[in-house]
Amino acid sequence: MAKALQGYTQLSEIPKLISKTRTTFLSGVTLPESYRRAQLQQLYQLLVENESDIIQAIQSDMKGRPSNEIAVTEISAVKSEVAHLLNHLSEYMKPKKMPSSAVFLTDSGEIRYTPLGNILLISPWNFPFQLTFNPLAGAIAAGCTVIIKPSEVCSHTSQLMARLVPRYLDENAFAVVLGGVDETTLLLRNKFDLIFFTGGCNVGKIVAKAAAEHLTPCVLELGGKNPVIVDDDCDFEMAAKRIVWGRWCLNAGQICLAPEYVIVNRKSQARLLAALQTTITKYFGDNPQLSDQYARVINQRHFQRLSTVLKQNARHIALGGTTDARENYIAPTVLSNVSMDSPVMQDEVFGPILSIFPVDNVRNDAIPIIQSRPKPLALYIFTNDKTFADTVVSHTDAGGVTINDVVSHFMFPGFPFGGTGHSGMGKYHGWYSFAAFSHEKPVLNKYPGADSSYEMRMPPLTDFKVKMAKLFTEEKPKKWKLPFSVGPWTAAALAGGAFLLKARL
Amino acid sequence: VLSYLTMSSSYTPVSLISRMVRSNAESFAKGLTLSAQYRIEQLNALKLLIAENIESIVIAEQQDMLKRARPEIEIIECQMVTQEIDQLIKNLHNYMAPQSVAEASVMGKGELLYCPRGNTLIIGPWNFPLNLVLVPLAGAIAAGCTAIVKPSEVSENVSRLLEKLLPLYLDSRCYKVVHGGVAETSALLKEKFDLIFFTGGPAVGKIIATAAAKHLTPCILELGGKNPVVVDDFIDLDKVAKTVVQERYALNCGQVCAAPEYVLVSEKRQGALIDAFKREIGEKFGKNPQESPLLCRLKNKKHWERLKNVLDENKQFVVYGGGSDADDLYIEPSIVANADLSTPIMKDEVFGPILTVVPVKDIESDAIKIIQTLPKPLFMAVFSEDDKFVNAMVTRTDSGGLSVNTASSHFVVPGFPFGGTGNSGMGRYHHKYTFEAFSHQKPVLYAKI
Repeated sequence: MAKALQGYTQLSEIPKLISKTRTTFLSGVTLPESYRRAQLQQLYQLLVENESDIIQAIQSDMKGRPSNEIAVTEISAVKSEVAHLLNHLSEYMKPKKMPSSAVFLTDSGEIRYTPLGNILLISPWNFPFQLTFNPLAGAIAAGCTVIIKPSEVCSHTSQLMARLVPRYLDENAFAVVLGGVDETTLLLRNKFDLIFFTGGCNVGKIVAKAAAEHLTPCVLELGGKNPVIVDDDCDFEMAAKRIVWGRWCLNAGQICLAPEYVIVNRKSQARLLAALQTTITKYFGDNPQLSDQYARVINQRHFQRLSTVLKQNARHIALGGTTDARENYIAPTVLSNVSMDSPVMQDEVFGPILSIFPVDNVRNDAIPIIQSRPKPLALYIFTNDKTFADTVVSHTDAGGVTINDVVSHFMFPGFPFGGTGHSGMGKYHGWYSFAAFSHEKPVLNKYPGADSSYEMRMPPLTDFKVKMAKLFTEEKPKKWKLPFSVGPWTAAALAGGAFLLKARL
Repeated sequence: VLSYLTMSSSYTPVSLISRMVRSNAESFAKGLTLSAQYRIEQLNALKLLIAENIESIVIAEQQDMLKRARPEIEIIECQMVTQEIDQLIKNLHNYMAPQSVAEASVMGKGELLYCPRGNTLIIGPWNFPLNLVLVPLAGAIAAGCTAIVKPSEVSENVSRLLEKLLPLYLDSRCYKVVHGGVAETSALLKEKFDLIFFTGGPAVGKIIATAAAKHLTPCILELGGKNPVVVDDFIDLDKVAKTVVQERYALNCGQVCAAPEYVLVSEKRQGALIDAFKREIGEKFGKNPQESPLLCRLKNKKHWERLKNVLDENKQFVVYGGGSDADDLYIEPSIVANADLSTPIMKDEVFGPILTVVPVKDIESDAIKIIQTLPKPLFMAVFSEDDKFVNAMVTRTDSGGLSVNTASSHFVVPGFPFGGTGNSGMGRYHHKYTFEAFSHQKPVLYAKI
């Protein structure tokens, strides 16, 4: 009964939808560039024509989230991604020629991009439109069909998606399934050609396990505790400003890229706290609950979770700490003197609570701390010393790194976005979105009438053939080092040209 | 030199495995494998391992696989590996260098940097036991990873040889061999790795993927499947027969993941195609293939029995060959014809010297339908000189890779990525792709202050 009220898709309908989109894919209708272009243009229109409804729906789910923030991160960012794919679609779809070696002079090779097929796309509640429609655009560009499963936690937004998608996109190729755990479990039992999941690590593992049963590849965009290193040799005020922006200005910290804990020298902790406080006051006023720039926690369940975090770490609260259950409001909070065994260091906070993790010497201690923890989605370093930054980068791994800012690498044009280790696998954005949903298939074309070169490797493998094989295909370490690399045929041509030139002179 | 032959067959103690994994992880955390100099040193040592032990390798390989041709061992198991290593050494500095992202931005300077995955596990199969373990290992070294190598216990002699040689050449703080079977592999799979590189069958592939999922460990799975060959209505059938026969029967007696498994052809051409196959088999292997030096044997009793079973199960469809010799582990080059999706032979990968012919009414639409119905294969061959037909095959179906007008796969072509898709695997390697396979390409933004 409750499910029907929320508009959940009936369990019996789900296999039918999967079968429908799969059949559509196998029919080949999504392959032509014209089809993909038309669908992308429709997707763009969907965003243009429904901007205010989308903002309203998101605000119904996430109280207090500023309209302007939504306009930038959920509408503009997605329109931009769709436009990028439209602008580059022909280029991305074009086969790429492969170089061939001497033995295969008579052949040609290329990489052809084949769509992976029927996709399952599961998106979260925090940036629902971006994290659904960005990957969707990539899947469309690649020629795939998609079953979209948005989060039941942002119910207004998901219901809006379920209404809009069939109105703008090909119903036979793209379907929205609404539901919760039961519906998702049923979806995961079925075979897809790729599962694209954005969410937390725990569900990420469930998805990975379900995918393993069918040998289905996954793109898992997960999370983790993103560390920020604040070196003494940096502009503290600038660092504080940017950290505050990352932790509190975007969706009250409910963003996978937000800084979670700050590694700083013990003697500089107080200074950092002061700078953070100044910035918080500057952006949100003396009482952030009254500010229209500060969002709320999405629902009661997460509010309870975060209140528990505050309770468990009560003695560490240095700034903020106040809450208001009526509004799911949690003040911008900073915990100080946090250590590895503090409860807050266990899981991703995913909320407006920042931890400060003081150490004796950042230069010595930061790297071992980061290495001892699961690989984060993002790593941030504030320092003027490029050598130190590079050392950290080469001795640790993270999905992405920004130096002297937070979150920004997410939006940097041409960058892939994804995690590593516990923070995920796979990547997308722009070209990488097209690639994520494609199979880069190598195709070898043998020209007719070139059998003799093939005879060289057919049995019996005589000594002569082995000698020829080594001559033509065995690479030898160079005896001299040229500033550029020249293939054997180019070298021969140059030598021949030089000889002719000399003869003329 | 030959003392390893008399070593007692002892697997790596399961109790030691946890410690070995931890030791590797510690070495990685210390940064031992990070410098270019170290990586090149280790790669050169790996080359030397091969160069100085060719005789022992040949002997071990021939003990594991009867009548395996020496040139096949020298080229595929030794030379190809050395080539890969040379390629990695030559390009290492390029691979390791940060790549500037072309688009300028007011935000600052962006770079893409390859970072080692970390502590890796490499599990190999028995058919090309050295190549399919040492090429990934070379990639792991080049990428700056540590690695545990678990060669197949089925190719016992090669595995034991590797167990003995690797610590003599490579830094054993960072590269270790585990020699063992199911128990040892299960113990390894319980540990957390940063990457698992597995070559083998889809059934074990699923076990690996499931174990990896618990730790959110990425996998490269080089699996197999039933590789189709599509023959259109006009192509010269002798041309088809030449390379199909070579790849199905001659190379390693068909025990190759990229070998053609079944041929799709119009009903009206099936007879002529089978005749072409028969002619080619006769020419290549002579009147009595069992005496031909070009045909090696099945891996072991278990696989011989498996293939004998295939012949028995499909007895009524066998139109050529069908002979076998249990003592010699010999299966005659055979052809099963008039098959369809319900024929028993179409169920699993044959991985042996039996070719299946599947006749269809309309070659284009029926071939597409059948290939779409079956799990995605590792490799596909299309014989046709009609560009439109070829294009339809390329775009309407998917496979790890595809060749046109030859049944020889692309995986020997330098520069081509080698890997499967769907049931035939995930990920790819060879040359620069091997370096990428063991790396994480990390975006780094230097923001404007």
